[in-house]
Amino acid sequence: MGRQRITTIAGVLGVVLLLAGSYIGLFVAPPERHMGDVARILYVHVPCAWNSLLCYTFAFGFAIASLATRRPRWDQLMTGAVEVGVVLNVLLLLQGMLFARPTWGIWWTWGDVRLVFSFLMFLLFAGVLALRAFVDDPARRGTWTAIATVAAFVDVPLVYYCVRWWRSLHQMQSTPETMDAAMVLPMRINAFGVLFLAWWLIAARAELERRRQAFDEVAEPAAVVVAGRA
Amino acid sequence: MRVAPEGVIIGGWSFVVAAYGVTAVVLVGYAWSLRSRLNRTQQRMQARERDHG
Amino acid sequence: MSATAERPAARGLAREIGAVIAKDLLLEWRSRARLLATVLFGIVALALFSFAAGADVAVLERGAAGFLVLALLLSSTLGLAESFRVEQDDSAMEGLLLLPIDPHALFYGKALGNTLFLSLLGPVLAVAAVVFYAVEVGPRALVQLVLLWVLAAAGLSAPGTLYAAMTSRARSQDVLLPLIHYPLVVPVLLAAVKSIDLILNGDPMGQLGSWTALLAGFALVYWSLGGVLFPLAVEE
Repeated sequence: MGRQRITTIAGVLGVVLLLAGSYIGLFVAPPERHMGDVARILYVHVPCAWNSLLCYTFAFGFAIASLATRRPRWDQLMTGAVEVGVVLNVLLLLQGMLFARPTWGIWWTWGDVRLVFSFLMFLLFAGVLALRAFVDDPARRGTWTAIATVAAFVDVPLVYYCVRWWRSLHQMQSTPETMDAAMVLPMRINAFGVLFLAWWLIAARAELERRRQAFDEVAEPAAVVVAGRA
Repeated sequence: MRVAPEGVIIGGWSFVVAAYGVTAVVLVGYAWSLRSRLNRTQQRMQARERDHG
Repeated sequence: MSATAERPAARGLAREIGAVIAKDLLLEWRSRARLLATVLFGIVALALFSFAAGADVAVLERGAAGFLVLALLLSSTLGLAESFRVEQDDSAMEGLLLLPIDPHALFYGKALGNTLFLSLLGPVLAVAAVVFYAVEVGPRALVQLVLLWVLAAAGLSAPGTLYAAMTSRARSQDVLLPLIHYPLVVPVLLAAVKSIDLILNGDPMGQLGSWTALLAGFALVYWSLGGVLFPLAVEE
């Protein structure tokens, strides 16, 4: 019960911080020098990007723990971290496209390293979720998705450097490297907001996985076959 | 939305609103989907406990 | 990993790897169906890219490196899936694992076999590319291409072997294997396409070394990682 209360508090705190940070970002922070008001998208875009990668990092840690100890708790947390990471990843891609359109006039560009990198991250970890959906045996499901998570995470720096070299001659200036102090505040608040929210979401998703595994364990064979994975 | 001669983008609020809107919809939607899946699994477990006594 | 009582010595491991490769080569030689089908598929793929890209010779020449690597990737999916489908028949995989064979030997043997298999596609696809895309290759470039091709095949085979072992026992394996394999090998694709393009169309800034190093680095990481993860993937 204590753990559940802590995660609920984290979730509430996350929402509050996100609302506060978004308010400041939308109505208090000044427009950026070149991108004007469009830069306000960055106040949610960058926090989602940081936390997506953070979730994937946690997933990697949970995957290693799952492979080493075989305890279901690590598998459940890993599933939560991958799924929440993918959700944030989808978000940052959508936000990125909404940023690209007014900035460069196009919805998508292969010239922006971060956009391409984020897209490949999405494919890698969405694949892990797909693998999980297609394996019926619970023991194999846990082991194989942990393996896929480890492999996907090891790939992250490789993909990043590869895409960077690939685009090194055609780098498009995307986000400002140096920021006004007034702009750093909403970004930081939102970063913590998304972090706490992600914490709550991961815990909830892990709990869902725990209940499903408990249900399947005692289910009759017919029930396992018929019951869809909603 | 227009670009001033110095290269500053003016306006673009529709994209900003869309970005924040999409963020809210996705996060709330995912949280809601988790909640309903948790409840559904809970109901199935309770139903099975009732059936099996 | 309790099945093996002692770790075999390095020489024993090499012998086991050789045995796995020999077994697969023998099976392959007996039917030759997989190799022929994959070669044909590769040629069809190259032809399809020509149709998609249009009749403009300049476009085809510029895209030749990409088309070649894509054909290799698509062919690899066929070959990898087949390399483990043969173990699914008559529960041959279970039989293999019951033998006192080191699972690492199984992985490296399979991966080497797949690399060899994909490498054999190279000469045929290269001839097709010369014909379809009007590329010209000098003798020095040819040697470089061969080395790069083998490196790319190795880069695709290691993660592919790991994933094929898993997906061969999952549902919808034909969709699942490319779905999880392709994003993983994007660094191989990028590096291979870039390198081959530099060989075919010139390398004014001397980047070939960097790209080849990236390709080799990726292959090294995944051959090591695969060796660590494969025993976990196949244990019961």
